[in-house]
Amino acid sequence: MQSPNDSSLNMRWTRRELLHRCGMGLGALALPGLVGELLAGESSPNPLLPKQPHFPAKAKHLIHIFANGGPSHVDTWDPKPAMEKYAGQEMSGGAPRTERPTGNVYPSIFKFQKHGQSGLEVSELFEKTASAHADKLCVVRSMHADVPNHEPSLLLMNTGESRLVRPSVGSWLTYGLGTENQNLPAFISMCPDGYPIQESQNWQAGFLPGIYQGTYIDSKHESVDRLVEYVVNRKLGRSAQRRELDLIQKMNDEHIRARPHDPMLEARIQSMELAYRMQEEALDVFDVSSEPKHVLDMYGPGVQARQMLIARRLIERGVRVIQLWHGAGQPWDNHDHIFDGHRKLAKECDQGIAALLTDLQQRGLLDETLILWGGEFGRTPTVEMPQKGANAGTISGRDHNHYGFTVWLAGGGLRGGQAYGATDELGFKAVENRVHVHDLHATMLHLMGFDHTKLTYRFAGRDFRLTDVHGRIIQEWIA
Amino acid sequence: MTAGAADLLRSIRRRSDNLDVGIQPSRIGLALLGMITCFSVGKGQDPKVDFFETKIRPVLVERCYECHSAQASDLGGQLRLDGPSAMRQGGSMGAALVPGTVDQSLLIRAIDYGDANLQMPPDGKLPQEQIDDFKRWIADGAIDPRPDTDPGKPDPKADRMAIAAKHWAYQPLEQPAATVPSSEMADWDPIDVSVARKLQEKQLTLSEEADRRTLVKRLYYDLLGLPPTFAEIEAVANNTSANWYAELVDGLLQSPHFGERMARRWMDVVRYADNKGYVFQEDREYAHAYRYRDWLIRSFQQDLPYDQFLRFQLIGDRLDPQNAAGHLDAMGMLTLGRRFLNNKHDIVDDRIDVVTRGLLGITANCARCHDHKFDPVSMADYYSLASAYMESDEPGGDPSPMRLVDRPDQGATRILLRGNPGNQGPEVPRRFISFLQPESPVDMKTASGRLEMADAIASPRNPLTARVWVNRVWGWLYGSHLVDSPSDFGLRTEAPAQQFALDSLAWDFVQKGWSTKQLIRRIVMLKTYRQRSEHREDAFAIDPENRLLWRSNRKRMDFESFRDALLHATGRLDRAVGGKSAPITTPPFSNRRTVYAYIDRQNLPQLFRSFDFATPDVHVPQRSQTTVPQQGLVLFNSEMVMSMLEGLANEASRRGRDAGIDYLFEQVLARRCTDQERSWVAELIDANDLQLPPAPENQWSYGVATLDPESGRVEGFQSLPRFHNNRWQGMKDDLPDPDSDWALLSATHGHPGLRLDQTVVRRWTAALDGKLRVRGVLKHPSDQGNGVRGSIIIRGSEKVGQWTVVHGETETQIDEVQVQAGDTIDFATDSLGDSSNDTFEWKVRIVSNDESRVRANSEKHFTSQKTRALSVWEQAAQALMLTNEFCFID
Repeated sequence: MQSPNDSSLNMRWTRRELLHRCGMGLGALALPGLVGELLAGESSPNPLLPKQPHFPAKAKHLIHIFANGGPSHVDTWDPKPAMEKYAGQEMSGGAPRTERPTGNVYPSIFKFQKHGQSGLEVSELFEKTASAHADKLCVVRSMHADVPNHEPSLLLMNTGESRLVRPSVGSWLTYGLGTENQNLPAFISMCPDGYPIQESQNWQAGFLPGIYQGTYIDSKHESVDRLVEYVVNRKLGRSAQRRELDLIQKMNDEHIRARPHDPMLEARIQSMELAYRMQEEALDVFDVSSEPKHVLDMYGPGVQARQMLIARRLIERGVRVIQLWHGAGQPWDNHDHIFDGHRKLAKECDQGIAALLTDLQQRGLLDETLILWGGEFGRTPTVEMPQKGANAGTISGRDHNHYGFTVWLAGGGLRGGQAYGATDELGFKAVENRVHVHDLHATMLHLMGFDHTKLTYRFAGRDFRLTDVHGRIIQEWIA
Repeated sequence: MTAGAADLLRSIRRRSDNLDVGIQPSRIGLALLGMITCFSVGKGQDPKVDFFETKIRPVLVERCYECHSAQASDLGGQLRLDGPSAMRQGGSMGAALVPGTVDQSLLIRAIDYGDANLQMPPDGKLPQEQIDDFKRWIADGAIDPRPDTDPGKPDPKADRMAIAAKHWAYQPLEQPAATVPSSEMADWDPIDVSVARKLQEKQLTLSEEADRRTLVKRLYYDLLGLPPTFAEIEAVANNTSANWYAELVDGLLQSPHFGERMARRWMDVVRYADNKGYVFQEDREYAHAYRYRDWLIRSFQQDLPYDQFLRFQLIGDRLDPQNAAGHLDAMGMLTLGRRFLNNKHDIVDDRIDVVTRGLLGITANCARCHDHKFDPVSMADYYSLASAYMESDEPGGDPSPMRLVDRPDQGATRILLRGNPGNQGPEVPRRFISFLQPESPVDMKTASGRLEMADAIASPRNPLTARVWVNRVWGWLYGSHLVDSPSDFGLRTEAPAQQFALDSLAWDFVQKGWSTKQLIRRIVMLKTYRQRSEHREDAFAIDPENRLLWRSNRKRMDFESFRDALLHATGRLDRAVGGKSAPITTPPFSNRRTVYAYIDRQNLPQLFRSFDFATPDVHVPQRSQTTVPQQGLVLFNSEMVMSMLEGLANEASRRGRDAGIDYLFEQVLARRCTDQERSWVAELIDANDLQLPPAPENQWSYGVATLDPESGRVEGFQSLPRFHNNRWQGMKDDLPDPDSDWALLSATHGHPGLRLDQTVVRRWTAALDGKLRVRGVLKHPSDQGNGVRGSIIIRGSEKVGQWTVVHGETETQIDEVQVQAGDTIDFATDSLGDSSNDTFEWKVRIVSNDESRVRANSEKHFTSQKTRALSVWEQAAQALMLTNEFCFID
């Protein structure tokens, strides 16, 4: 295995040496925080210890807000006044082929307005996010992907490959960076009330060790024991558990005394202590009810708001990568009644997104957190034709569109207040400064301190990477 | 077309004798032919050429060509090292070498790293051994058989082929020359002699033989994946036979659990799962996958020769077309992969991967898009292999849903340029991987080539099949492989430090009829296997990774063995062999061995992932081994583990304290406990202050009690004993129950019994002190009867609210209640003397005084579990099972 930068060397103090450096005797075993983690990592196979990237970078965490289903860019972040002009007319040359037949140009009903000093134009659907944060957003209006279907496009956005088994972005990042809090999972994927399409493949570790897989959390639940598997003991109070653990460790000490110099034995001893501590940490981090009222009010009601708030709490505690899915299945997939649908969906998340950015900034965390908002593709500026059993038989929606769509980024190391690239006059195809998903990935890795061509893993005789043989860093995004 | 593709095309046409298009045999074609000649004669040409091919060329290709060959995008120092003339001619600094004169050769100065301004390769000095090889080569005249290539015409393929012809893993199997044993080694297995000699070269020795009890545990783990019982260990310890070890080995090889152990290992190789992965709408299950798993178990158990074992899995359709002997199910190896939304090319790619990496140690999948960069596998090879599956159908249904059969209408096979199905390239001949089997192309009109592929793989002449298998088996038993990349025996993989062991095992294995049991027997009889696993400072200093095999490796139990051992220790293990897959992560928890666990490829439960289970998505060469706190959480907190403990704990507790502790040690750790250990456990047993954790569910209980509606006194609270139809009620399924009458409580609703001593009570017990409010609505939905009366009572005696509802609803709010941890709040409902039509709904929330936190929610925290704290005996049992001693094998 080729690690990005063998900083684990720095961690390879012997246990004795470390205790010595910290001025502690061998009795001080159950150490909290960093020292305890170092100890656990000492000579040990914990692959999640923090590691340095290839070069210094501002962004240390990633939050990916996944508007799954394919949000319409022409109704949100990519204003197309020409749609009015051609309303109800056929596109010259006909609409490009997408998943389903589409008809004439179908203008957005939403008002776009300029925001901030940058004058970034955003629709009323994301009014709260735009009005508070326009100057922080790097809106990429020239994204394109490969095909107009959910499954391959989800995998492409998440793993850089539309069909085969490959590690997800979050797995690559935790492989490259480890995590700063050994008491919590390194990579968390939250989706209320079930899985998105392609299910846990979206946060899969692929051929990387399973520990880099995202931990799924059904954020519909409010009680922590339903949020995180195995984190709550229902049958044993804390002091009794400690007593049991003490017995285990006494036995382990005897055992290892007869078997010195075995890092595996030592590592397991430490990981039991970590497990014990993790219960408390997890209980705390997912319990948003302890937040002051003004914070709860800022995020607003609903599950979107709650998972945004949980995300901030996780970032604060050093979790590396968080994905926030809008909901099970493909909620943004409005093949019909798109205006009602999008209005409702945006209302569910706009305030929470705005609050998350504000909150992170107020805590000085925005600089070190990269935020990505987007779906797996966008939607057509033309109306979807009615089909039996497909779109309620109405003429009120838009089809999938992989030729052109929008994502935005904010936070660590980005140049905000800009719209990068452009789609054609009607918003169908990316035409100016086109950005493929591989380029997005390459630039995200760059922002997190990695040369995307060098973050590799040897598998089946080859050094694999997130961007395969593709990827171009978009310098204009970088502050 | 690129130059590379043109070359490839030419070579392909050459091979298929398709010369009428007027293309001359290319240099590559010739190189291939030359290579084939090398294969047939093996070693024995000019030793200086040999030396170049084995020692020099591979290093040049690996470490120098990137910058110093025609293929370099930016030629370093104008110097090329990819041909003899180019080397002599040199670059901007002059000749790279002067044959015969080491100290005038610039190349040596560069690789010696002595000159700070000239150090090559820049990414790190070569190993001293290689530097010495270069010196020797130049001193000997720098013999270099490579043809001089034209500038701009790189020839990496010829380099690969030439290196391949000399690569250790591709040499024909033969009996390796054994080291002459010294007198004390006279009766040793030649492998032990060879290992000992290699150690001697470093002034090391084998470690002593491990003690008998350790060996028993080790053998049980390695051969069965189950721990021995205390009695089994003692029986061996007291066996006075001189052959006790061999007797034990032979007994274990006959155990019905041996086949299970080996089958599960093989399931990693072939990415076994019980479902298809992501599908759009079709049925996700492979309902018959278990039949393949059971075939594996039977085959290993009966020691089906490995060549046969492979043939059934590749061409069961020809060997047992009607599944009369069940061998058709063996084709599950090919057909039980992920479905990739039924994209045929991806399904085929996955099958190629299983066969090439899994059976042959060849990485072929890169060749889907381009010729392999490092190994002698071309796109033509890849698509030739692909045809074996592209031209096979999956008819489904009887006689086995897992079979493949050759299509009646065989089509031609074409290369897909860059792997793109829309971009068809030239036709390829149908045959096995060409560097292993250059001849006998298959008739494309009649056969898919699957039969020929099976013949080529399950062949004593295949240099890889046996080597790869014995290396896998060695790794499973010894804990580390001889070749540490068990699924990649390609050109970049060095010969193992103990190559004699590998070659001797492979040769012997084929000679003795491909018997896996004989192979295993030979390995575990070795002194090398029987060593102690203890650290030795002298050996560790020289060989920290134990590549020279100076000790046994301590192993951590894999997931399956660990779960099986828990079931074994708690006396719950179901030893039945074979059958349908059982989910193991959800209650009621199965007691079947883990090899029978239902494997959900799409959403593999976190439990499996936390314990480094092999991903069922792709072939897994070896499992990763991580140590993370999630493992501890499962062991401490999972219902799966805790639900196992009760029987064992009761049995121990029945014996009294000290005898009970002794019993636990024998059951869990298969040994007697020391006095000190007994006193440690006794401390825990004596503590006996059980407390449930303050989980929200644990704060609620459901019962009947006697209510005095005037004073609000609640007495004699009795839990409702039975959970039935999603509600707590009396023991009798059909109400009324003789004790509690119609009393019942569900998450939202309830019903009182007739009398006041059958008042139904939903009771909350505070875990913390605090000022609280109660919010709720009591409803009586029926339009008949006399309604119900709800009372809220604190600490069993203080009535703080009471409401009567008849055919309607009322809010039940209490604005301030002060409680301390342990105080109760009862929601008591009685029938007002007539219990007909008394179904009520009463949802309540208990919130903090400022309403910012919900402390309890009667609906959300309703539970079917009758939670009781883990008893001290259960804790003791769990503790022993969580120790390192339990989970590591010395």
